[in-house]
Amino acid sequence: MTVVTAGRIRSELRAMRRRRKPLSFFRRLYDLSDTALYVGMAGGLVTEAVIKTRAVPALSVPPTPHTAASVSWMAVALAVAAVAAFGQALLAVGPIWAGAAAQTWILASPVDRRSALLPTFVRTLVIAGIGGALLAGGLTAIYPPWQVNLPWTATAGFLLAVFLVGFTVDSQARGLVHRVFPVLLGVAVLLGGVVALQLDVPNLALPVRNAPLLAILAVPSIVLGYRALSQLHRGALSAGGDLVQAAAVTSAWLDPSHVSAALVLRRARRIGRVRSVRLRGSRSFAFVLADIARLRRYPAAVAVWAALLPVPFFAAVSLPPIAVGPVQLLAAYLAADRLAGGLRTIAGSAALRRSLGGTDASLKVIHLVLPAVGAIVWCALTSFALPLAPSVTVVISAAGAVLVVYAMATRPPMDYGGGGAIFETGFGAVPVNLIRQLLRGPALLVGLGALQLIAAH
Amino acid sequence: MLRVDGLTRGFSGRLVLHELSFELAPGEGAAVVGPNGSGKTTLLRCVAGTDVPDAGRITLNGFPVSETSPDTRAAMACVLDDVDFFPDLSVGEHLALCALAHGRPADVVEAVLAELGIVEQRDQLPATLSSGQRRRLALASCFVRPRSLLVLDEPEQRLDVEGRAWLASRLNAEKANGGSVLMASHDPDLIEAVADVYIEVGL
Repeated sequence: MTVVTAGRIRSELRAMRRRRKPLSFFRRLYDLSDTALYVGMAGGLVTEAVIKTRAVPALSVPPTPHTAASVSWMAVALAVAAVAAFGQALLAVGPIWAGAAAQTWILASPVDRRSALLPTFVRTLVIAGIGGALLAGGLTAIYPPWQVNLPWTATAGFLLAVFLVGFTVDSQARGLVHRVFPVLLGVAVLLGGVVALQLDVPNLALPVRNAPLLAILAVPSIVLGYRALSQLHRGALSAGGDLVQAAAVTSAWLDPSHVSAALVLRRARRIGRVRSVRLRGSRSFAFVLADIARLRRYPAAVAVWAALLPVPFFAAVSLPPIAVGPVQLLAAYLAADRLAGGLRTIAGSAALRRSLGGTDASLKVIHLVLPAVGAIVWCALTSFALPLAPSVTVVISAAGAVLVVYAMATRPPMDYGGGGAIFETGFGAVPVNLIRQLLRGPALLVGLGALQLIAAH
Repeated sequence: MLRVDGLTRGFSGRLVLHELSFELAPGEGAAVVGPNGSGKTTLLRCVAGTDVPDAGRITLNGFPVSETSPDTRAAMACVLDDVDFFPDLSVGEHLALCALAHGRPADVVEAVLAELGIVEQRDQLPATLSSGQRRRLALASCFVRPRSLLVLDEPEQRLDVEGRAWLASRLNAEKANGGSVLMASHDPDLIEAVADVYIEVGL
């Protein structure tokens, strides 16, 4: 029997793609320059916004003085939370995954599994490494004392991300369900609690300058991941495919509901069987009980709600006082949104609304109770972090968070069909639906953030 | 009483339903019959209010049908092609919520679960059900709540032989209790057992 190598199949696939869709060098160059133009425009706009923002006198005011210890604890908390989030995200997509076509046509053949998956592994290492460097760099940007170590921080981010890829590929191959990342998130919240409560604690140091130490961790992890490639079965490789496809549709259609729907479905399949709660009482009471049952079922939602509590306190340590209010608003929205699973489901399903009776408005309002309570409690707990006009700021944050949660959960899905009107701008056509999506989402949040700035000024 | 008068619906210039009229009295069953693509589902969607006719009038108990109207929702229980469930509530919780939302005690759930043969699935989330079990859950969500009209699009789908026989007797019981049944079906046995009125479309 002739043994076909993975390399041979890859070169054959490349040749087939070239034959089917021949692209000249100049065409590729044109596509690349097109992308570079848009990236350059976006980068320019961001740079201009940063420069103008830094020039605003109110934003040049230094943060409220804090002890060096609380600053260092915040740094460690952020780093630990970033590692936890990064690792969890890698596990969510695999991190090694294969689409349906690859599974059916390549992985079902007697081609060596490790060789077939090696390019994906290398690609994942590179992308995750760059992502880790950017994430670490981004955290540096909001934490001024780190700026002196930007290259080191980025290097540390790269090496940590590479380490996490190898570690998670090994877990994927062995089918391990890791609690390490949720535990790390819990540790980060505890560390953040020290900052929030301003406890008298000793200074903490991060080994961000110790790249050799991180490299020593990363190299064996890569070897571990490489060895695990041959153990990855098709079931393990298919797990992340639906999520990656949903993410691709989301980015192409600018509609995040695809990813959230895929995540909800995956979570439901993972849980499978639950202990049913006894719903009782009036119609409204039963809906609220069902919403609470959701939280008991998905404690991660409450964990994220709690994990966001230190964020305004971190902002108070690292940002100008006037910026703390908008940060509280953004974090309050993110926290309340975790409790809005019922609202999103009911708003997105006409069939469910039909079967449950009553008016659409009453169904949506009932399902807003839990997110509203969550937003109010969250804002009350974080109000101690607000250095300026705390009473007005906290009211805007709580009401604004509820408003944005409702607006985003109930906005209609993006419609690119014939019914969607097009608005012609000087830079090209923009679907009116897209403008509506922005107005009922990020733009509303930005507007409320501006209101916070005015109130605190 | 469901009354459809002069219902017309077309898509992209192709007329699917043309001036269709019929009445369905309490205790009657109607079967919408016709080949694939003849407009059976379109008719049911128009009756349920999820599609808007180009012309004609549909009333239920004297009031115009509107999908968002609480009156329509209280009177009509549907299993159409857009059937959906809360992904994070168990089968039992979903049915209890359906019952309580319509002012009926949740005690009714156990009997309906047993009747539909999904007692063992009570604590499962809908995503883990088989397609047949999902179909049974969809039907169960109609039976746990009060209604005067059942609108069912191919309810026999994904049911085994025993399930189809049960469905026929259940729909006849529905009629005997004064409810009306409007269904599209390809199952001649089910149609013969349940239908008092035949609505032929696409012929």
